Amino acid sequence: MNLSELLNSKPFSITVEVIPPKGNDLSIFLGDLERVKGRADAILVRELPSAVMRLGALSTGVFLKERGFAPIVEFTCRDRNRLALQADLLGASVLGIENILVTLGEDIKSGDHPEARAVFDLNDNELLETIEKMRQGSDLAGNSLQGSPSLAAGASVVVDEREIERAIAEVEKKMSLGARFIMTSPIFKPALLDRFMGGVKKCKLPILTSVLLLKSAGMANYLNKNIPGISIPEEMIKRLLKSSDRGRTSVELASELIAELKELCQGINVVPIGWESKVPALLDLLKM
Amino acid sequence: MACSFKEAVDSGKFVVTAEIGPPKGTAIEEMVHHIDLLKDKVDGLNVTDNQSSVMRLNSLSVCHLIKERGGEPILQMTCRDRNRLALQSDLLSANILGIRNLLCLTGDYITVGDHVEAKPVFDLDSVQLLQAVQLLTQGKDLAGNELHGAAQFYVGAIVTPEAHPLEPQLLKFEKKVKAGASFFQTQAIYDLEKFKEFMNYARQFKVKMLAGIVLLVSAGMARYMNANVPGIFVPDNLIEEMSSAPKGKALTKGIEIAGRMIRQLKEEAICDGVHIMAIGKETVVPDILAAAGLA
Repeated sequence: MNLSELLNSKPFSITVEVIPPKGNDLSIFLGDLERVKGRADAILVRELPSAVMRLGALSTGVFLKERGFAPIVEFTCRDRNRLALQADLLGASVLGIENILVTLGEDIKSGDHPEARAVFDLNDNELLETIEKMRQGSDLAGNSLQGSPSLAAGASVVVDEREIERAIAEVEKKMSLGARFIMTSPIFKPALLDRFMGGVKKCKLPILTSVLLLKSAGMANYLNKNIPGISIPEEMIKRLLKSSDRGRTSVELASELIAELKELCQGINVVPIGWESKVPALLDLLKM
Repeated sequence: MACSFKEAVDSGKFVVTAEIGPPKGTAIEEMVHHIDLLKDKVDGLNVTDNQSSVMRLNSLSVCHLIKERGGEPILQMTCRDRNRLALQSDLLSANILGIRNLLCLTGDYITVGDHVEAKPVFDLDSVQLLQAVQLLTQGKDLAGNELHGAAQFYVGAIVTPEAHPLEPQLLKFEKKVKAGASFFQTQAIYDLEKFKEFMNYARQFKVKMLAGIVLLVSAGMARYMNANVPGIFVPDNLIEEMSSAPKGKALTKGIEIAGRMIRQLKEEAICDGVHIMAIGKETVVPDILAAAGLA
């Protein structure tokens, strides 16, 4: 069952986002993941987030699959041209990776190799179209494939409360290009998700809502100020400020938020960014 | 394989690698048949990376399949389709999938392939890619950042002994040696006397040399390569020999020629091994080995 089918078949699914290590030592990475095995429905493997060079998402996905996890592999457009993207998509399918999350990829300048050449031969919408074409048996240039890949691609959409109509239009666009599920940017307000869901209901695409583990009030303030689309309510920030155990408070905040969000959408994607070790405690609170 | 490609090369035996060209799609049965046929007959299976800029199943996945089937993969990596983030990321990836052998190339022009409108990346060239590999094995990336776990590779590069002009090719070869290439695979060679001259020069470097053997399937193919492929020169006597083959026997003649060349390379200890490129005729590689007295 691919992720889209899973999201549609269960009342509520949960995925956990992971960032592969910067090197070949997977001991800590796997240690954290072993504690969520069998509890999360899928693991979303990010591809070089923030343009920092790391272990690849596809190989990490294959590695996790061989160890009993259900991976979703992110494909960004930043680092490969259409030859490499399509070749890697065929590879994903051959190695049994079906779930792909298509994203554009962050600015190279934000990463640890700012002098690297940004590729962007295709954008995220073009990559979605490419996957759909490949599924139907031809490559982007129209050449026939010997065997078409089994892939179920999803897309990410920024849900910004100031531009909710744009987010809804984007979901419709991505669906028309072949997206099988949508993953949102981190949402902190159930009312915002409710409005968004009202607008995208007619698409009947499963929606995976991202929930970020807030590490501190400082992080929350930084995100509010610098990341478009993110709006963290003041009460959340106050609770973090007053907390004597921020790890615990962070997990409680996420669990309370998820309890409300899960009634509105098909699944939740937990985004720990460095706090992978707190995810089991969150799953405990969620009784998963 | 009983031992790794590096162990085979280090043992001093005459090594043989064969090329595997991934399919353009997910139908892998024929390729898997070639892998199974060859994996125990050669010391390494070298998997091409979107060769001739034609989009195909990626090399890394095929190397993983070879590894799973008990073969010894050599991952080809070109600089044409990925920037330094993706190249280094794929290098780390190769390692966690158990792939330790690499062949670094610059890559063909995009315009010779089947996606002429694709963007050529070339963020690094083959020498810089070799340098990146060297750094990763020392626990650092190309920007000097520390790695959480260093990479391990046995890394090779390519050289064209009959390039015209030869001088820039030799400069590049020496740069590749300096950047850490431990073995070299040559462009197809057919004139062994000329190749001996090249080896007289190359022997001063402590690198292992695998002569490229491209199977001739017709006289026409030989003439086509002479006219169109830089650095390949099939001597007239070989073209005549191919032409003289009875109808329907050209392939047999090609196998005989390849086998004869390999036998001479080994018997006269001209180089350290061969890389056989059968290009679509992988099933006859065992016949070439038999003709060379290596089976």
